[in-house]
Amino acid sequence: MTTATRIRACKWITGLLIGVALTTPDQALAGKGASYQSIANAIATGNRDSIVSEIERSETLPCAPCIDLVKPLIDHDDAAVRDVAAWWLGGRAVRDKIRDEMYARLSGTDSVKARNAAEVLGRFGHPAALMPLEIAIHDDTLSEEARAASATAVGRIGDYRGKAVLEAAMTSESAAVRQAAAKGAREIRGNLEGVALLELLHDDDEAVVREAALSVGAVRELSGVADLIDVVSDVNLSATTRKHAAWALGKLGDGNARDALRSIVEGDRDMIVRGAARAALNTLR
Amino acid sequence: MRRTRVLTLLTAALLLPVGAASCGAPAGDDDEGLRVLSEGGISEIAFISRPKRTSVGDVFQYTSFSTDPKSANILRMRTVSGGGDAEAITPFGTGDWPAADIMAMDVSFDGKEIVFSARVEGESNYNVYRIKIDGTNPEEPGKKGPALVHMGPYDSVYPVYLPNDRIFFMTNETSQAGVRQFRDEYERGVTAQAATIDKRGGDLKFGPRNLSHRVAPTLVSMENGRGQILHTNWDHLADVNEGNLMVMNPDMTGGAEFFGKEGSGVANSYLKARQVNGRQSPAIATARERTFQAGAIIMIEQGKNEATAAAEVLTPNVPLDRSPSFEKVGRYYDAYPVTNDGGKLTHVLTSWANGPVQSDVAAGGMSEEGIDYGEGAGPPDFGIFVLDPATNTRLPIYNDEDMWDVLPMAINRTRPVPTAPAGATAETPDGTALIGALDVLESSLPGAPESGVYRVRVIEGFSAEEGIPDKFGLTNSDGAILLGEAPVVHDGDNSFAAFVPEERPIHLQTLDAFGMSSFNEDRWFSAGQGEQRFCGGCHEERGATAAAPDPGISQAMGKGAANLGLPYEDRRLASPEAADFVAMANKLVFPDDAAFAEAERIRGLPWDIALQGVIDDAGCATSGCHDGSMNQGNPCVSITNDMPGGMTSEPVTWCFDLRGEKVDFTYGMMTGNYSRSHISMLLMAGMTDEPDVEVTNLDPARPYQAYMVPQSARDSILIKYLQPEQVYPAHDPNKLAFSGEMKANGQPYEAQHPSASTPGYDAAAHRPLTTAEKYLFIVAADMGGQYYSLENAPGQQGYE
Repeated sequence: MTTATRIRACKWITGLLIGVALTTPDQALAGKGASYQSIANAIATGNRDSIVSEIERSETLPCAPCIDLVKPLIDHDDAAVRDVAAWWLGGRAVRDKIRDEMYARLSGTDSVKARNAAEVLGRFGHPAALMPLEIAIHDDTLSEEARAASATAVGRIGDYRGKAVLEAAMTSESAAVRQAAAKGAREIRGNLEGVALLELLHDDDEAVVREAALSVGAVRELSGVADLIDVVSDVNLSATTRKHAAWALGKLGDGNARDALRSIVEGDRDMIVRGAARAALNTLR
Repeated sequence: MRRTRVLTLLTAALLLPVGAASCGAPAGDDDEGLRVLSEGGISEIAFISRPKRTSVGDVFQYTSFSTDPKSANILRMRTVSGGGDAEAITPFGTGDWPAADIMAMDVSFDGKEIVFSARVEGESNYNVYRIKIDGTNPEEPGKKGPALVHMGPYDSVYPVYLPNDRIFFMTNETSQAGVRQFRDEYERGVTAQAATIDKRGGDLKFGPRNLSHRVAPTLVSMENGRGQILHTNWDHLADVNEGNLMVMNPDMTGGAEFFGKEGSGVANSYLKARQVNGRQSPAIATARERTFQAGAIIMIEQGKNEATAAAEVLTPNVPLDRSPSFEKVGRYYDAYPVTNDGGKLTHVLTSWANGPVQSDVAAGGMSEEGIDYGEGAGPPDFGIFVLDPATNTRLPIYNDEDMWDVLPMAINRTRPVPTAPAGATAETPDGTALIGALDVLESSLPGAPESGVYRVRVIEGFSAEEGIPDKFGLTNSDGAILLGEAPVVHDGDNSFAAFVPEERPIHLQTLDAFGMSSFNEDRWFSAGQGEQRFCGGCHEERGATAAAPDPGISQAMGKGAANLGLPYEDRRLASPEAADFVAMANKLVFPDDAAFAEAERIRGLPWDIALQGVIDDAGCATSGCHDGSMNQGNPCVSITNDMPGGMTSEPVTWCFDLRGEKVDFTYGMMTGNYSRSHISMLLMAGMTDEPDVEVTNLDPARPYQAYMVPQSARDSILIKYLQPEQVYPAHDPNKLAFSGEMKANGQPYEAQHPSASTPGYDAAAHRPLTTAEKYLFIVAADMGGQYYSLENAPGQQGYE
């Protein structure tokens, strides 16, 4: 090897090691640069983007009074603003106080506040919230939206211990809760099993079926092939639902689904369902 | 009153004649723009017409959805005689087709087909579709409508045609069930990562992952005909927060830097790059947020490597930062080159919007600078134009005032199919790739160590999605797993070689004789399955990959690459509470010492277990020492921040305290719930660069210092006190890292701490740290000073 070749060949890794510390123009430092006034002004715009980006920039700003600015945003009309507020508060010592307030909301009667509380706890991400969320899921005094938000938060937290919470929620009389639980199941870290989802593939509510199909595919529940074939072949279901079932069959990869998928490709009335089945066929073993 | 007046002015400004056209019509009275395109060999164009919106300020935002007031569609327009009328290629919102939003598209090599990413109304995710430019389904000849290529409960975005009937795209799906995709720690979005798929939906492959987003790819052909995927990579490691351009092979291997780093950049972020020829690429340069993913058009001259790349701003009046732009200046959304017969740029086919094109102004209200934007200007109105970069004049092509008309591209003409080089591969243990260098002392970049590099530390990154409820600690660093340290061989060359986990983000540090990082690579990179990233890549001359050397010629490979592979499921130490982290550190430093052969391998360093255990065992936090009291050994600070109206917040006092008790540090609420020792060590790191914050030492003679500097043990005052011993190439306890260096009080750092001369020293209670204990703190600082690792993450099952 010549010296020239050697030098050239080695540049990439030593370049990596150097770290390219040179500053570029307008370098944005993550989580820095905001102030109390800039947050207040951003909130005054009412613009989601402005609020979100300014609160992001105040990630590490040591500003106790800013809590009074940000905390009300957890009840903002815009979900993105609620989320960034929860994120900001979740990184601060006031978090535990707010967590306790959210627990109280979940056991209260104001369903909108309970919904927002569930979102905050989901964003905080601490598994300690699983129990109060589980109680809220089954609290008939709360609205469906709040109870579903609680199930969503369990998925958001993603802790494996939440799997059992969601499986219990899948038996709820509320379709919204069952739907959220089915969706949350694929968010659980380490979840490689979805037997509890299979019953939801025959749910009366099609939105539940749709989410269950996606989760069966996402967690690779291999015993779900026959149920998914039932769904993809059910012409009474919407194209969206059948499409999701076709995708899930492709994700499972079981060759036993081949005939059913071929039948869909050849005869389904909807072009997108045919497309999903065609793509799924290309993924079977 | 004032709000009304400002609004009136803004509205009037936006209504000034700038060539914008009426709804759904060619944007002008003449066909000059179409003529320019025609002369440039473009007989027909296609573009996306999608609803205007205000929710895409962030350049890495890829899920903004709207079908109001009408569905998005891809439109086509002829430029030759009879042209000027746009007709829809896609059918969304017509007949039985639901309305949809379309976020990106690409044109096939033969110009006859389009791949695009759309989300239909009633669904939650963007899917990938193909459609012929005559509106028919490529898989069902003659039938109107698109073919679905890829879907699922994930977003599949930014599709690009590859050679060999494959499609590249970005997705937030992961390759394994039960594994959540990284979320960006900062803007909290689920990250978009590289993937490829057969154009008929089979053979899905996932690429090596970045710890943050990758967006806006395009396929370019280098001068030697090699196809490369040019894309925007969010470089986000600790304080770094930039969108730079990178390339990778069509098989997603060989990721390398392209433009933006090494001081070559002109803005914070670059996106939607295209290609004029093998050397020039236009792109949009802008801030990371608030600019609707639009900015100035720049032309990048590639140079031999990133350090020699340069860019010319083609639209000099357009702000490169996030400030509002100006009347008749506006911002550009994209830049598709129009060339002459010689392949030189003559014009740019682009989407442009007049006015501020800035989210504060769009929404109205009071800006952060205190400017009143009244009721707001509303979202910008992007229309299609042809820009003459020589004169900065724009010729209108098309504008629908209800829609963003964006991403115009030529269709119905062929373009060369580049080659699809694959990354070099090597025989590697299962689940690993090979990285290495023939000479770690060779570099094209300034400041690299010219001697004294003994190991290369390999650190894997992960995000809070793995069960970290809060931040990782009083640090901006991401989660860190020590994969190991590969020795540098100084026997004929200065090489190192290591097998590392494939497809996982890692970064590297070179280590000096004391085991401290002498250079910290503050960018993540990753390698594909069995990929060989042994030189030939990021900082080589472009097109030199074919000359990548055989790793076998290195001394490091001759001695055997260090195997730093770590299966995904083994990344967390099984029983961290019972682990002997000091023995683990000994094994790391002295791998041949049989006394530590049975010790576990270090992964993460849970502060409350690994480090606090050493602090407590050495008596560092006992009464009279670093116990938080205002004594000789504990500097104290008073912290205040300025409030509106000239007020100052109540001061909070903090004294150096190494006790392990977890507390809520209440000043500004910035720290969360961490141990006193963690807060004490990282307090100054958390305060750095914050505006309106005043940190006052209670005793100027004993200043509070940065005891642990994330990712730099060498700059950490704690480490200086500890006095690391030389450990490489051989252990020599008499050679100390900071002997002769002075403390803040003008006295030299002592040979050991504590010692008999240390105030409050009690031989029965206090002792200096051992070599391995010091090394633990060095590693902790260099990895980022995190409080949480997988070992003490509340969201990891079984941890209490």
